Amino acid sequence: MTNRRLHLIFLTGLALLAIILIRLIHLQIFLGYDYARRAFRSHYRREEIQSRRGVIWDRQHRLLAVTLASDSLCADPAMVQDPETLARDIANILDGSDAFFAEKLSRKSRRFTWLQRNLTPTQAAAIQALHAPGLYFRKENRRFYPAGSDMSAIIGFTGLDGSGLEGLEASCDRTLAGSSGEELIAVDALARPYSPDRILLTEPQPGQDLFLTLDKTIQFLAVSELKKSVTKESARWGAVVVMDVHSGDILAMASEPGYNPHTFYNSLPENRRNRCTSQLIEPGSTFKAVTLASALERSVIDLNDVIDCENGEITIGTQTYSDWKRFGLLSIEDIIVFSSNVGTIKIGQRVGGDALRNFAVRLGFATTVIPEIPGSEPGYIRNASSRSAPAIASLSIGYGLAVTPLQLAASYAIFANGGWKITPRILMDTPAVVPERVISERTAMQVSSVLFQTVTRGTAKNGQPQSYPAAGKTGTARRYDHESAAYDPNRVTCVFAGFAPADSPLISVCVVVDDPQEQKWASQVTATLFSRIVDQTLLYLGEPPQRKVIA
Amino acid sequence: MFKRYLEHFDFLLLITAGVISTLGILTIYSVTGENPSPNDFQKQMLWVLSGIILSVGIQFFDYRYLKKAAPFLYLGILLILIYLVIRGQFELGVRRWIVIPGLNIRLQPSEFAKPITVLMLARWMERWGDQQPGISHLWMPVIILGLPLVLIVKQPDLGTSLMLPPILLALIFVSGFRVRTLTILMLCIMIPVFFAGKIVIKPYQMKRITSFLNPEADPQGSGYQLIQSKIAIGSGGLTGKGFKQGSQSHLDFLPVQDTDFIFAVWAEEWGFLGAVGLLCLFILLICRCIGIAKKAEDLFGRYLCIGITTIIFSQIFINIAMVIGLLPITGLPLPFMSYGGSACFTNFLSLGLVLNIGMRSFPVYNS
Repeated sequence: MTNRRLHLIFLTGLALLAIILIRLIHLQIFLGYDYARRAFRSHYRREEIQSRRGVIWDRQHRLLAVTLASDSLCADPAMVQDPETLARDIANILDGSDAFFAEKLSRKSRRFTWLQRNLTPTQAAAIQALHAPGLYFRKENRRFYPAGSDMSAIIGFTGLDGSGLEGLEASCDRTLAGSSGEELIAVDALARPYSPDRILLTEPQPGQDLFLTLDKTIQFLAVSELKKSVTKESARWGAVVVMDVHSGDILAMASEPGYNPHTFYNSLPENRRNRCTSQLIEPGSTFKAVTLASALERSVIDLNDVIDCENGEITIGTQTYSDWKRFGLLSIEDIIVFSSNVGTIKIGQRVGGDALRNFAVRLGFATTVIPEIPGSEPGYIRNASSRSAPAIASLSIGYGLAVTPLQLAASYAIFANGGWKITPRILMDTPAVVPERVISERTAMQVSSVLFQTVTRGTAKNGQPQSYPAAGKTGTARRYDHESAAYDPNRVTCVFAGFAPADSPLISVCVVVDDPQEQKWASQVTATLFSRIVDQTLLYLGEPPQRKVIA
Repeated sequence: MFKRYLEHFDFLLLITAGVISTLGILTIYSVTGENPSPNDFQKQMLWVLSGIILSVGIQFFDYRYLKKAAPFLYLGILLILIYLVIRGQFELGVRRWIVIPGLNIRLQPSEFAKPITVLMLARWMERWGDQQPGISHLWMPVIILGLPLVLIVKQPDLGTSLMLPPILLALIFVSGFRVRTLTILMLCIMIPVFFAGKIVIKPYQMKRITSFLNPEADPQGSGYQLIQSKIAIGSGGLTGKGFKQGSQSHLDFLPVQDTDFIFAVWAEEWGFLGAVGLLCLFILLICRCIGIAKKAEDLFGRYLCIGITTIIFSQIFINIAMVIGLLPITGLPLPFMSYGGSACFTNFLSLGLVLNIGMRSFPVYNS
């Protein structure tokens, strides 16, 4: 009887085990696939694969911006044994203070903190040699700019996440960036990767390279010459544009003061501007060439005409304009060569305000920009009062309009080009724009010849390069003071625009130095700067020197 | 004489237990073998080995001596359990362990309380002889079982305390009570337990109990263990992922892999076939134990054997059932498989007793 009950107990036990068996069949056989999928899912984490950012090259295929993998130092404060000592060791290697690192390493409650992003390879090796627990590296991509501050105004820089923040890096960000990919990486329960195996989901698309029209060497010499002048004159800022007159290629664009793109956060925002395309100036006397061209084009004057320069003073309305010298009768050519305001105003009056304005616009003033460069300013030519006599007078001698150094260089390139207008470009693959004839060849030749005379025997004598004939015009524009709402005679913007060699032009150059403290005339400040840049650039371009130093 | 003992010694039972323990060591090696301090499986090997030696060693003593020792052992374990409840050191909110100073051995007295309670019950019930016991006979077994039960619940160790009632049920069932009496007893136990449960059970225990019904409600919290356990077992499929290939356990998704959830690791690595194989081994183990109970020489041995078998079976069933989500999760090891010294010793000691009963199940003294 008792054995029967024992068997009953045993059978009960077997029945219970049968329930387990059924459950196992359910879990492992029927749901096995689902659970396997669930297990698989929990083992992988989606991770972004950064795409390679495009390289920026100059016209000779020299590196201007490149992305390199670099190490960023981070720490798990909970693992750090002696924060004080370690902080001191780290501070010896990196550029930070003991206290800064000690504070970061002492936050025991946090498991992650950045100590310094993007170490140099030497720094990384030195940190590695510490063998300190709790310190580790993360691979990050860092953008390097071999040309440094020379090019930063044009190229700009990227942020820590690798996206472009300024300059071409920002405006061409989509081209450069490509698209990131995605992959699965094997992780354990605490989301720590444990295996090098990766499953690729989408391939990253590398960014495209940019080929600039800039030439690193010309840029370098433009920047260094500009820097010299700006420092010597204690000027507020300076800009240089060097442009190929035939192709419209911008060979150099210098802005001073510049900034180091690797430490952009230490610079003033106004110094990060590309002054060549975004700084508006009044062109002053450099605009007289435009007035002349306009008059010649409309045949309202002849080069051999003689104009009375009224002993160097003319009053129009309430405004009195004076010359730097008491000129009497001057030929049209000499008016430009010796930069007579009175004479040019009289030429301008013959042309008329609207005609002059429209002509300037046709040359590219108040219109030409390089769209790829962020913050490009078109500028403007005052319109409302343009029919009033003083406005016409002011415009004739380059006041009452705001232009960029780029526009000056581009318009002088038209004179150099025999009247063809070429659109300036910064990217090699910018689709070519058909050149447009904006002035007759004859006019262009005449203006060029006058500008050549200006350099040879006129106010731009200092602009004569040592080895090449050049054509150009100085401009000393009084700075408009917004506080007193008047032009300040003691503060000027010195401009020089020209091209060389005068007989068969290759480059057109515009030089601007703002508010020089030592010398106040463009013939002193910017003319010499122009000549030095032209000399070196043409020599570099392989143009044979044509003549020796002239007296 | 010695030869006859050898003939009656159930080698198959000992070998089965040994095989299960070996599988346990393998599984522990699988999950902890690559750790920087891989001594868990080595420790377990040592315990299993000494457990086997212990189980063989106690064959030299006649189990019937235990009849006399039972009250002292019972009293002793009660005193230790009382000491634990009053003075025990809290560890993770419970007072389960006593530490033997100097040796650095941590013992879990509630493990030893199970076989000792069985001993005491067997000794008491043997006195009833072959007569059919009435309802008045029930008081004493209930008290014998109730005292350690209450003390273990106080620790609190819900898993171990759950082991005790089945012992009583099995023993009084085979002792020949009328079915009617048993039904009344069941009701008397179930109703108070149901209401007492609501008061005694601590919130974290209640959370475990409810979470097993719907683990997905709180996958990161109370349901986490069960979900991970089910994923591990389920993803093992028919044939498993292979030795040391169990991703869920190796990547730390699965908690307490080498103790409470060792079955999940086993089922993940060896699949349905491995799990069924292990179940068969356990069934073989239980079969041999029941066989010994049937041919036991005296009532004491019979009751002792049934009690011990019930303990082992309950542990197997409750552990596996909780790992596969049929019962709420309580901390309970799988006999012979799980990592743990106290449990290992108790299991082999109990097995040794069963073997002892089997070996002496013939009239030696009468011949």
